Amino acid sequence: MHFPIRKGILQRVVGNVKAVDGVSLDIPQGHTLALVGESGCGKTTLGKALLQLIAPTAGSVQFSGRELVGSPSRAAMQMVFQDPYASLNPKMRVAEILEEGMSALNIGGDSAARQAHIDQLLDKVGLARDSKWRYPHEFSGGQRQRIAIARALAVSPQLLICDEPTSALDVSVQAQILNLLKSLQQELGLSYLFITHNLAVVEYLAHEVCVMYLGRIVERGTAEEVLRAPKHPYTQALLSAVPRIDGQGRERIRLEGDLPSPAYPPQGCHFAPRCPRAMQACARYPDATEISATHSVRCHLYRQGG
Amino acid sequence: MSLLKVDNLVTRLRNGARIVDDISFDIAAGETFALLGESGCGKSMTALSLMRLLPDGVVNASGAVQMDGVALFDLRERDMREMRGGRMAMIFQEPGLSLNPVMTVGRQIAEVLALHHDLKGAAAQQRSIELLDQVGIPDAPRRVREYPFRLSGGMKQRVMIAMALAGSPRLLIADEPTTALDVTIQAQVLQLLRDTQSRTGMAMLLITHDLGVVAENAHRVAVMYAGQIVEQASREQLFARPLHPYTQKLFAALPGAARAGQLLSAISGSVPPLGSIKQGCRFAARCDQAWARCHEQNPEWTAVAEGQGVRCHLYGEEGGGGKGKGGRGKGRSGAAGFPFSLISFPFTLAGRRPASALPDPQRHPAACGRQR
Repeated sequence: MHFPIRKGILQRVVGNVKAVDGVSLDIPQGHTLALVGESGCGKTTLGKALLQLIAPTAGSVQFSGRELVGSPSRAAMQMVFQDPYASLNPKMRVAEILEEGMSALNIGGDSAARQAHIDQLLDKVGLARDSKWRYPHEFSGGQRQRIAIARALAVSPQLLICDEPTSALDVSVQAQILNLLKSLQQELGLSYLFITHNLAVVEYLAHEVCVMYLGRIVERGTAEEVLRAPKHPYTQALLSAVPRIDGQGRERIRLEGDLPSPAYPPQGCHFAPRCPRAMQACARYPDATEISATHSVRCHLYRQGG
Repeated sequence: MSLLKVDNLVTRLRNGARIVDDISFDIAAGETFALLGESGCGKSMTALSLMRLLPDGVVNASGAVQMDGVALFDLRERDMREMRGGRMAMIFQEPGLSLNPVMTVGRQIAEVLALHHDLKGAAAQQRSIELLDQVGIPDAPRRVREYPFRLSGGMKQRVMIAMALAGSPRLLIADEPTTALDVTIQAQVLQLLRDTQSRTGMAMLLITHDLGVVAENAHRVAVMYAGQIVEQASREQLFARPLHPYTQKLFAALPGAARAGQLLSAISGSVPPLGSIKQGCRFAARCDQAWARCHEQNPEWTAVAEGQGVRCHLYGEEGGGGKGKGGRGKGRSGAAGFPFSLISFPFTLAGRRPASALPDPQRHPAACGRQR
């Protein structure tokens, strides 16, 4: 996923922002893959690229064996956005919001069948049926996020891309939404790509985890592997930076500085300038090293024989 | 001797709704006191009341605030201005919105220096550079001439902290100082605040919704719900033994590995709109231990142990003389009067589950959450 950087009156292209750079991942049915990273690391861009909301520069996205690049399949995958205050059209009633996707994709049968489907959707996400005649502003943040989830489910997708679905919500409401997502997964066999920076949510929900830094995946593995035995220095620092309520006596890895600009990423390993364990080999970008069948990391520390 | 003392503070909207309702606490020098609560519970309004910076339509109705022995609400506006930014300073949630975009960082810091230390010109410039250096901004002599848009979020928050420190405050009010920042940057900024505190001995009022931030930074904690403080305790007490049903539910709602296989115990419903509850406990509608009295009578403040108090009928007058220090230990016996094993709240987060704290499901099913 590359974006041109344009400059001057003539908008000449002077370089590329590699917002997402050489990322590969796969999600089995009924599983949750969490994409973890700090703001600006490209995780949202990746989500949008999968949905073909932004056309990727190169690469392929396959869904159940079908190539999606160039021919998006909106019925198969849907997105839930971060801010439920911004992602619902304030001028549309809930019923219209939920029906829009079905009519755009020409599914769901006639009007009566669609209304019945909308009632079911509202039941599924735990909203009262009469709320379909109300407007988004009449709902609280948690309820709006339920509407957004119902809208995504309206076209019966198999994969839901959840982009920080709870970070605009309070803890008590966040728990409600996480419960809802979890029970929907069990009930409908949904797969989730869960984009988040909240590691507690990852621990709770994810089967597999990918950690992104500056457009690249630096570590991936099962949730257990990545969160209990993180290998990449960035993952280790990220985990140690999360304040925990049992946080006493824990070693803290302090990172200096900020995320570098993705327009001018550091040479070699992107993390090297902030890495407490950087060495000479880090001047070259590391290849992936397999720690186990499911766990791999891009870091020179784990190179075989080195 | 407390540095800041807040007594029965009430702040309300012009229409009468009490958005901060009868709040009392005190902070000693060198101490970090956390106000914990969800959005809309009145924690920011409490801070703005202390600074006398309330927005239009919101008024301080009653109560008293003493800062260093000075009654803030009796000061003339001119004297209050001396206080603000001088003896008490504040940093805000969104550093990008609280810095002036058309002034260089250095000039914004110099404003504070001119007002409170009478420093001007080259001396102010020099001091600004020192301050930026103190808050860990690399290449301070260059940064001091830059505009806020050139700085990242973490840098902007450091500049805000430098501005707050410029007046050498005795009390720093930090309103969600790291909510807009990434975790690695959050860790840097919180570390900076802790270091600054241990160097200057200032007191800190830390406003946050994040239990993790409280656990790692606060000495004492007050939990707010719908405008009231429902529980106050030392950090150790709160995390070992939260008393108020709301606090217990907050802990239970945290996601984490220990809960991975099960549903979280969410708090049903949402925070009631301000002013909608005229009588009774404000949490009653969402509380699964509520009974008739909770809907009729607003619970009084009850001291349960040294330094720990709660606003809940479960710990009320059963033991007699519930108010004040004399009520120490009464909460235990008071609670034991009910068939609930409240004291043994399960502390299961991140796998820590002391055997003694396991709830007894036969005695009190609600204490186990909605486990399956």
